[in-house]
Amino acid sequence: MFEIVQSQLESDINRDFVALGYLLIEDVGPHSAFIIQYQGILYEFHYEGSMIDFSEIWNDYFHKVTYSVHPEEVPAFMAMCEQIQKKANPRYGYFYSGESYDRNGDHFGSKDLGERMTCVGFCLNVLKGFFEEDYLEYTDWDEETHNDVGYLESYCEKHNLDITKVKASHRRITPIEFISSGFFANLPIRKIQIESKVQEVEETIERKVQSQMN
Amino acid sequence: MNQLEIALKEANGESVSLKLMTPDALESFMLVMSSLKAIAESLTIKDNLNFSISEGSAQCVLEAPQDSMEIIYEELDIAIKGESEDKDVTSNLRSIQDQIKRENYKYRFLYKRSNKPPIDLYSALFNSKRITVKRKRNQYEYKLKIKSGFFNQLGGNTPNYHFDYGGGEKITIGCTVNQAKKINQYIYSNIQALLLCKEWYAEDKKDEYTHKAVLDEEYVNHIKTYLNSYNKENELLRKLRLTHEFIDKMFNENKGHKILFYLLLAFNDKHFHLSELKTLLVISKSFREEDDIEKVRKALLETYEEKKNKLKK
Repeated sequence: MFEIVQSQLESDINRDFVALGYLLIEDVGPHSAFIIQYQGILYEFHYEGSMIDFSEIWNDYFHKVTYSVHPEEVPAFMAMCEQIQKKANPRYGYFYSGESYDRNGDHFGSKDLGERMTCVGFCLNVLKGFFEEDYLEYTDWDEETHNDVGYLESYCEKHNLDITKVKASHRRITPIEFISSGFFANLPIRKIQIESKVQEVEETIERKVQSQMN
Repeated sequence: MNQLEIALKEANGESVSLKLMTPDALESFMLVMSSLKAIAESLTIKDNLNFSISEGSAQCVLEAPQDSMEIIYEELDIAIKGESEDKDVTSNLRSIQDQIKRENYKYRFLYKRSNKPPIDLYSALFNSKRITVKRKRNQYEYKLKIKSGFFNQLGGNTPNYHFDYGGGEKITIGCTVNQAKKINQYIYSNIQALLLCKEWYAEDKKDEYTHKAVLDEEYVNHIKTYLNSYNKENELLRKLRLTHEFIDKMFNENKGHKILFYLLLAFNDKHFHLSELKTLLVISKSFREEDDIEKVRKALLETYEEKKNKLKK
């Protein structure tokens, strides 16, 4: 029983859920989103690098339902997403320092970064705003997790940011790590837990993609 | 301006004048007036309403802005058709109907509109079946309501207090010992109380009230308007949207903190849906360490966790 499914084909239509979605975009790479099912309709909620989209599902995602959101809390989660979409204004960059969105969809963090994040960072911020505890033990991920040498330096130069202030938030949590976190519901989730699942998740998705093509 | 006009023309075969009324006629007229007032107040904010009483039989006129008046008339019309699910409207309209149908009493009840002929509510009420609330599948429903009254008594081992409205009309409000200690400071004054009401659809069953908060006057109309829409909305996600939007609006008017405080108290109850509790937690999260919010938020968080754990089993 492995519970990663193709959102549009294999989703159990009879229950409400929040799931962590994974999408492989050709020539671009993997992408993260929330897949939400409410009253029999599937939605995707995600940050596309320029805007926040909340609509009925149209991309071909894989997802893992997260048990950290109770089925009865799905309406509350959706209401929060709507607020964030109305008000948040993120910019793209590989940073995550454990911020969240507050009641206004305003970005809520102590760092000097403003709203700079990836699609994963956006999802993590949303989750953090929803739970009482941190969703991830984000300090488990350090600067080493971003493997493009010189990314931080050129990013700071381009956007006129002080590298000493930004450095501690520079980390990359990948879409495959994000979907893998869906196997755990005790928060905060540790990097070591997620790592124990990553390979299995990758293989499942690979197998499903292959069988789709045949 | 549109008006609702109700007048007692004859009592016991005698024509009625404000200058000289029998106790029976006066009681009937007062009952009709207070019922009309209760309906209007339950549907719109108080500041919008104007009442006048005048001679020419005993006549009472309610005036309100066009949109408020239309809401009131529509609700009356729905109730006369037997389609209303609003017990405040149906029970009070039934009181009016009982007086209208009284033998040897003659009333006039009109909805007067500018540039249009008046609508005869008297005939509609006289000819319709006894007004009742339309039953839903459940036997009862929990609703937040604001009730005001003179607070003059508090006590008991399981404490409660009363609002006495005269004529045998009164409500009893249950509270905890801790709440009782706090409410006691308002004794012998008029208070506005935010209450959780267990509203029974069966006409003969009395609604049950639980205390949630005593409200400062300046917040009453805002919360009332919000609760009116909230209680009418049946779809959960739309209800939650209303809460988000209401608190947003209040923060823009610098009333957000106090409103959030009241709603955290009000929604701290296991009878609400888990998503209703969660929404308040999400909205208040960034204020969780602030003095006024911290304690009430913790209390709601406990209720939420208890409920969530029970659902899991």
